[in-house]
Parts: sequence; structure tokens; C-alpha cells
Amino acid sequence: MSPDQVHSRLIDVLAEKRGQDRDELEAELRAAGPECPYDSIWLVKAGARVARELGFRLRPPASARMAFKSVGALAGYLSARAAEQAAA
Amino acid sequence: MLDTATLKTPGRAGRAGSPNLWRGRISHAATYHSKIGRVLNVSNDPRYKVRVMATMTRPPMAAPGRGVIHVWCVPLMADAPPDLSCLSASERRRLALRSGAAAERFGRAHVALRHVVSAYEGCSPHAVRLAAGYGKRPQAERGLELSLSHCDDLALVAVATSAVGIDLEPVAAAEPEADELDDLAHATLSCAELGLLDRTTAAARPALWLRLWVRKEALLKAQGVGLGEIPLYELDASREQANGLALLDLQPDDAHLAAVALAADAVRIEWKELDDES
Repeated sequence: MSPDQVHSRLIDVLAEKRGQDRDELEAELRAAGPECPYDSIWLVKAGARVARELGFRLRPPASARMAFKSVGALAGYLSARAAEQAAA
Repeated sequence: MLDTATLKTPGRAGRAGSPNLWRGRISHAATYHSKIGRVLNVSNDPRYKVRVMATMTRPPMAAPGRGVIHVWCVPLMADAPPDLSCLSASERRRLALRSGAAAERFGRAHVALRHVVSAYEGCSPHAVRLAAGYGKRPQAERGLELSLSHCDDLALVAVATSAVGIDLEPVAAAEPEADELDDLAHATLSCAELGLLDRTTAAARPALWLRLWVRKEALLKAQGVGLGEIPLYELDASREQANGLALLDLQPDDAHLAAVALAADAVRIEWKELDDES
């Protein structure tokens, strides 16, 4: 899955978990900034779900610090982890 | 409320339009204000009064004692728009990065923080000086330690005299699905915490995970560490003490969970509300 596809999937999951309309949430995220910053607790929850869908379990090291500040950063992190997993 | 003292124009105390007398007045005002506030509308034209904003509005509130945290509970949503005039330039820049409801909550939360600090400093919220680095605790003068957390329609401000952290999350953030909770636990919990979760009934596990999350966040804030600088699963928040900090669970209302961490052997809470003190 490309970072853009992971990004879109994360928004799907966030909207589901927050009980929000997906398009409204996406508009809210994009208005907040190009990387779509969001609360870390919801990003961890969405990230755990999407990681499972990508075939691995989330257990982020300290170096993944910034991955849980925004949807964009988390999508990049998950996409890279999935690629590592596939290459291994 | 602000007390306002107005210096009379030179015409009343001396010769009208006397530049030396006027400069003396402004110099006096500037000295006066360097101690307690700001000079506004300063003009060399003797027809204009120098308006002095006295910022010592009431006796300062006593700081919390050792081992005590004052937790200020602030509702964020109200009918009237927030008065953002007291925010600093730095706070306004951070506010500008947000929009809609998120911006309003941020604005209200930081206005509330200033009102809280002003109660301890005995000045107006406009005069409060706060320093905050990205992801760091706000720093006030007079040795106060602060921590702010807000979500949905509620903010909590923790005030102490040693390093303090507070975190607030909605009860709705607890993960009800067992499989996803298992993945979350794997991602965020230490071995001791995983053991605690295993020994807990299935029905109580979502709430326990959320409790551990807010404790971890409070610990990280008290230590001045951002999320991710230490992996969450290396931080054990299952006991009353962690890394030299005392932990305490809070429940401000039915819709939220919270926790505080304090650099102390034990911690006691005193709840405060802005209407009581401001």
C-alpha cells in the first residue's frame, strides 16, 4: 500500500472510531495543516488497526517519535514498515 | 478586572506643553510600568493622557504546598466567543495553525491557562509571562510548575511547585474491541502492564488500558519528554510511583479520565474552578 493509500485508510479508521463523517474529518484534518496533525491517542488506535491490515503489529521504537503527531507522518511510518516487512 | 490609573496631562500639574515635564511624566510612567505592567497609548503630545494599566489587581493566590497539585477544571465550550486578547504572539501563531473547533478549544484552553496563572501572580492574564517550547510544559515565573491538557470540551490545568504532568482523555477513547485492544496493548504497554491487563476481567480491560495511557502521558509531561522520545512500552505506569514521580488517577466527570504525575513521594489534589478564584 502506498503512503497515500495508507493515509486514506487511516482517515477511514479515524472517522469510524470517532463516529464522524469521513469527508468532514478529512476536511478538518487538511485545514489543520498539510500533514494533518491529530491527537496521538487516536492515531495510535488507528495505527494499530492499519498495521494489522498491513500484516504486522505496531510496536513503535523511540525513533518513530514524530509518527504519532499527524496522519501524514503515521502513514509514512506504516508504509515504510510494511515495505520492510515485505522485503524481509 | 483591571484597575486603571490615569496620569494627568502636564497642563494640570505644570506648564501645558512643557516638553521636559512631559518627558518626566512618561519617564515616571515607564518606570512605574516596568515594575507592574505595560504603558499604552504613550504620546509626546501633552493633549493625550498616558493611560497606565495597573496589573496588580488582587492579592496573589498561594501556591500549592509540597506534594499538592491544584487541578483547575475548565469547560471549553461556551456560547460567547473566547476573548483571545491576552494571548501572546507565540500563542497566536500556534492558534493560527488550527481551524474550526480545534482552534476554538486551543484558544480557550490557553486563555484559561493564563487566567489560572494570573490568579497566582495577582496580575491580569495579559501580563502573565509564559514560555513554552514545542511539546514542552509551559513555564511560568515565581517557581510555578504547570501542565495543561485539553480534549473535547474540557481542559485541566495542573499547578504545583515541583515538576508536574497531567493528561486528560475522553472515556470514548477506550478500545472496546478485544482484538484491537490486544494490538494496542502490544504497541504501548510494558511487560508489567501487560501482566496487569491479563489479570483483569475482559470487561474492565478497555478502561484499564486508557488509565495506563493517561498515566504514561502524565509521566512523560512531568519529565518534559514528548510522546515517542521514550517508547511507551518502556514506561511502566502500573504502580503509584514511576521514575521518581508519584501518580494519581483522576476522574473529572463521567465522560473523561485523567491522571497526574508529580515529582514527589505522594500527591494530593485540590480541585479548583476559575469562577471561584478569578
